Order: sequence, then structure tokens, then C-alpha cells
Amino acid sequence: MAINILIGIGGTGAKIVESALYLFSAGVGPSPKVIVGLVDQDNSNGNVVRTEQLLKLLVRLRSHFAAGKANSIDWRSPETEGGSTLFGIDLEPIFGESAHWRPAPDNMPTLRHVMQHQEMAEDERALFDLLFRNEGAAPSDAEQTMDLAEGYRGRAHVGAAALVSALDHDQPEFLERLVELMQASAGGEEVRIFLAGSLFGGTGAAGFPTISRMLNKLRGPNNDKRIQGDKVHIGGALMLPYFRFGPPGDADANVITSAQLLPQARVAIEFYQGLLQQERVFDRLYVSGWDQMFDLGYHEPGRAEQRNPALLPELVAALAASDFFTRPAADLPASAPLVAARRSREGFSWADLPAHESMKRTLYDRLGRTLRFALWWRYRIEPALDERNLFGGIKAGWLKRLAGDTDWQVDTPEARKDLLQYTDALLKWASSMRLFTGGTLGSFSLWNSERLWEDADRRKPTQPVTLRASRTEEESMADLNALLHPSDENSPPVPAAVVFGDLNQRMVTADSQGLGRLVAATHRATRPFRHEN
Amino acid sequence: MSSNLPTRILGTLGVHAALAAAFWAVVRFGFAGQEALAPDLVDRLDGDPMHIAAYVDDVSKQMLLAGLGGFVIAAALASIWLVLLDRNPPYGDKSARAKRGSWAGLLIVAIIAAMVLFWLKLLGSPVATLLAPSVPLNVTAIGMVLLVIGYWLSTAIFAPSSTKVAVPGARIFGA
Repeated sequence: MAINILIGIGGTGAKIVESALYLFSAGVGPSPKVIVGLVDQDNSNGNVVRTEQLLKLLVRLRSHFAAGKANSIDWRSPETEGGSTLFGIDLEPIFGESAHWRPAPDNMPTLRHVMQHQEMAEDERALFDLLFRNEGAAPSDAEQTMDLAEGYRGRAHVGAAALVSALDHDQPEFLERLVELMQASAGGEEVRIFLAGSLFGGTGAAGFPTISRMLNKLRGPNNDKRIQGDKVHIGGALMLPYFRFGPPGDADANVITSAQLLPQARVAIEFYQGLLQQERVFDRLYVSGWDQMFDLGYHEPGRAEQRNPALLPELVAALAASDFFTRPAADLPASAPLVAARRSREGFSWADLPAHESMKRTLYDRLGRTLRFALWWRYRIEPALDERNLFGGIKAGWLKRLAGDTDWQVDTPEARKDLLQYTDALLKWASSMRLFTGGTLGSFSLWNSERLWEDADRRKPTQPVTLRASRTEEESMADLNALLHPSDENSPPVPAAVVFGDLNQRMVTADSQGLGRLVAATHRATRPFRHEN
Repeated sequence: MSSNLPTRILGTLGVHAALAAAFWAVVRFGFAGQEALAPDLVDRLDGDPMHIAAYVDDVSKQMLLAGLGGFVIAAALASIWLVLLDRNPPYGDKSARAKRGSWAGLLIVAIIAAMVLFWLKLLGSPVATLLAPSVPLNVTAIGMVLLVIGYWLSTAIFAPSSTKVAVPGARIFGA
């Protein structure tokens, strides 16, 4: 059993982790557990906050439906015997309560503070001034006095310096925690660490090589940390530029612009080429990008407003994490970076998602099923739970049978609320990918949630999709039938009538109890196929 | 067609066959005697057992034909309803409840068709003059009751779980 650690570095890293979390929640990933960390200097970065909220939501859902609870889901039994894969992968924030690590604390707002400029000797200060522009530079170019509260703003060298200082001196808890986890290798346990980040921008570009090299050094031979290097595997997903912002509102703002992304990426690629040739940092490195830029149309330097919509390349990168965690250890080493490409410029279908054949099948079945589950739960099951007869009992016979032993007063309201929040978030995540892919890469043939959109506007990337509040039974039938594009045209997903028919059968739900039984049964009933294999 | 539709149809036919057998037993043991014949007919036959038996056979055959014809129609209509469900299954509670319309419609058709049969074979035919005054009505009433029970029972038991809500009272069979 391996210890799996997923670290998202920067805003893009957080978005890759977000996609990975949705995959894990659907059961696409390693068992039994993934430890999740997020690295970002910008404490309130919208992408990081959204991902951490999702992680906490999934942790709560695991807890609502844990074994021994009145509303439990059976995650142990095989699927054929009624076990469920929904929320089946245990997720744990790297610091227990929190997943986010912020390199420079509040009392170190600039690089000068981080590097203790005041304490430097004359020659050190001269070198510092040589490497980083001081206050004499234009405000848009200042590096030493740049406010780090909103991240590194595309200045990877500033971020790298600040990060090294933080890792080693100022905020050592992150590295200490990683060392603690890596030390499990001394007991023979395998440790897999996957880093996700962008090659462009600020935090990712600074943190990805810095942290990966530091981890690689830690697992080196004769290390003094009691880490067995051959049991520690490091993987990474590196994103090439795949989206662009609009121009910043302030022409003098100290931020990275879209025009700077590609030249910066080119320099970074040359750096990585050298890094990969000189040091074997990664057992397996995945590189992902896109031939056309996704246009976000706005510019936010950081903070909560930088809450970018989920985009398809992040799902591709998240699949890399899933691939890395689920491969046999012997298959992990790859001498060259792995690159995926779609089969045709005209569109993107399930066959274009990079995964080996069996994982593709699992991906379609589990992610597709979970999307269908989210729709059915949000629009059909959840409202039906509140339809009561004169005596306060549930009206629908099938619901009564599946959730008859549920205590509706204790614990269940919280579980229902979180489940609703999850289904809402998942559908919005999927909708965002569809919305922003349109026009960028031709037809999007993974899913179609457009029927659920109350409002969708690409000009509002922080809140691009609003879902409809309710749907009639007839509408839901058509919604479900239209949601999932088939992975094989000859084998379309089963229609809503089959889902409803299954819910009325005596479904196998193993040891799931209470509301957990209803969740497991609905998740099972919404699977796209009926011929198990 | 779902894999279990033939089973459901066979079950429906079985229920109707069982109730047809019950109807046959009622006619055979309740209405196939001298007391079923009109008193003036018995008087005219002077109590001749051979003639009386011939008349009894004749009238009971008509009763059975009317009844069994009704059961065949009811079984056919119940099966048609199951086929309709199979072709157009419900996708939710409302859509399942909406199947009650077709269920009731086919039941009414079955009742009307059986009534016509009983009328042609019994109530409105010359045979009625040979029978005691209460017999045609009693046999028709029993036949109709059993037919309705057969239609309800077969659809309540053999409708898919998702559609049992369309059959009144089907919950007792585990809807």
C-alpha cells in the first residue's frame, strides 16, 4: 500500500488538484488514500480557496458516510456485490485540517523582508541588487519591494528565492511534513509524490522545480533523514501556457501579461531540459498544454478574484496524477516527458483523454456515472426526499425502500446539504469545461450539460455558469439522456427510464445504510452501462 | 423488449388461466344442475333426466364460453399493457403514475368486451329463456368480478416495480 501525495503548486496547480479531486471522488484514482497539499503565496487566491473548499467538502462527505455511521456507504465490498466507488478514495489535507501552505508569512510582505535585506553584508546586498530589481526600477518592474501577498506575479526567480528561504528557514512545516511522510519508506512503504503546476506564471514556475529538486535531494543516497530513496517516487504534471488573460486594467501594474507567457514558457522549457538532463528529478513527468489558448478575457493579479474557470487541460493533467498513482511501481520510470495529443483537431472525445485502455473504460464509467448521479441526485432524488404524505412519510415507494431506515433529523440534514453542494460543484465544473472549450477546439464530445444552464457567460469567468434551480421529470429525463456523450457510438449510456427502473428493483448495496444506501443505489443506477465486466 | 417481458406475460396468462379455472368450477359445480334451468322448461320436460342433462350441458357450455372468452380478452389486454410499459417505461414517479390511465382504459375495454360477450352468449341470447331468472345475471356478475380480479391481480403482480404505482393497491405486492 503506497502513500500517495498530491501537491498543487500555484493557481494552475490548484486547478489541476481540483480536477483530480473530482476524479478521486468518482473513484478514478488510487486506493485507499491521497494526501493533498496546496502551495500558494496568495493566501486568498480564488483557485486555491475553491480547491481547498472542495477538499474539505469531500473530507466531510467521507465522514458523513463512513463505516459505522447511520448513513454509511460500503466502500469495501466489490462493485459487483454492491460496493460503491463514490467518495471511495480517502482524502486527507496534508496538515490534517488544512491543505494550504503559504511560503512567506504576513510579516514578510516583500522579497526584501524574506531575504532579510537589512541584515545583509555589503557584498550580499550588491549581489541581491544584481539579481532582483530594486525600488529604483519602474513600479511595474520592481522585484525586491513587490508585494508578495498576491503571489509572485509571473516572476519565477523572485518566487524561487522566496520559496527556498521559506522551505529551509521561515516556514519549515511543509518540508518537515513531507519528510515525515517520506520516512514511511524506511519501513518498506512506497511513497509517491505528484507535483502539479504551470511552467509559466509565478508560483508554479517558481515552486515546481524548486520543490521537486528539494524532494529529489531528500531521497538521494546517504540522506540523513532515514528516507529509503528507491521507495520514493516523484512524478509531475507541468502545464504549458493554455489560457490567456485580458490586458490588466492598470498599464503600470506589476503583473504578468499574456504576451509575456509564451516567451517565459520558452525560457522555462530550456531550463527544464537542462534540469532533466542533469538531474533525474522525476520518475515520470507529464507535460500538457493546448494548441490554442483558452481566452479568459479578464485579468486579476491575484486574491479571491483570481478564480479561473475549470478548463479541459486541467482534467488531462489530473489524469496524469491518477495514472502516476495507479501504475505498478515497475512501470513508473519514464526516460522522457510524456506528452498526450488528441486524434483530431475537430473535437475532443473520451478516446482523446490520455489513459491506457482499462483506465479509459474506468474513467468513462466512473466519471460519467458520477456526472449522471449528480444530475439525478440534484434534480430528482433531493426534491423527492421532501415530498411527504399526510403522516410525514416519504411518498415514493422506491425511496422508502432504499432510505426507509434513515434518521432524517440527526446527521442526515448535514449530509444532504453537503451532497447537494457536491453535485452542484461537480456539474458547474463540468459545465465550465464545456463552456470554455466551445470555439477553442471544435466539438466537445465528453458531456453536454447545457440543458441545465440557467445562465452561461464566458465573459464572467469567475462565475460562468448558473444552474437551473429545478427541472420537471420530463426535463430531467431528457437532461440525463443528453448528458453523457458515449465513449462508443454503438454503446450509448442507458436512458433515464432504465435508471428509474433500477431504483425500483431490489438493488444490491452491500452494507450501505440509511441515506448512504440511497446514495450508493442512485450512483449504481446511474452507471452508463449494464453489462458488467 | 426486456428480457423478462415473456415471463411477465406468461405470469399474466397464468393468473387469468387460474381465475378462468375458478370460473369454470363455479359454473360446473354451482350452475350446472337442474335448478339452473327455468322451472317451466323443467315442467315441460316432465323431469326426464336425459333431456334435462342435455339442456344443462348446453346452457353451461354457453356460460363457460362467455366467461372464458372474457378471460382471454382480459389476459390479452393485460399483456398489451405490459408490452406498452416495456416499450415506454416510466422515468420517474409522475410518469409511472401516469401509466394508470392506460391501465384503467384497457380494463374498461376488457369489461365492455366481456359484457358484450356475456350479452351475446347469455343475457341477450335465446339461452336466457331456458335458464332460471337469476342465473344469467349471477353468472355474468361472477364472471365479471373474476375477470376484474384477474386483470388487477396479474398487472399488480407482474408489472415492473417501477410501474406498480400505476396499479391501485399493488403496493401489497411489494411496490
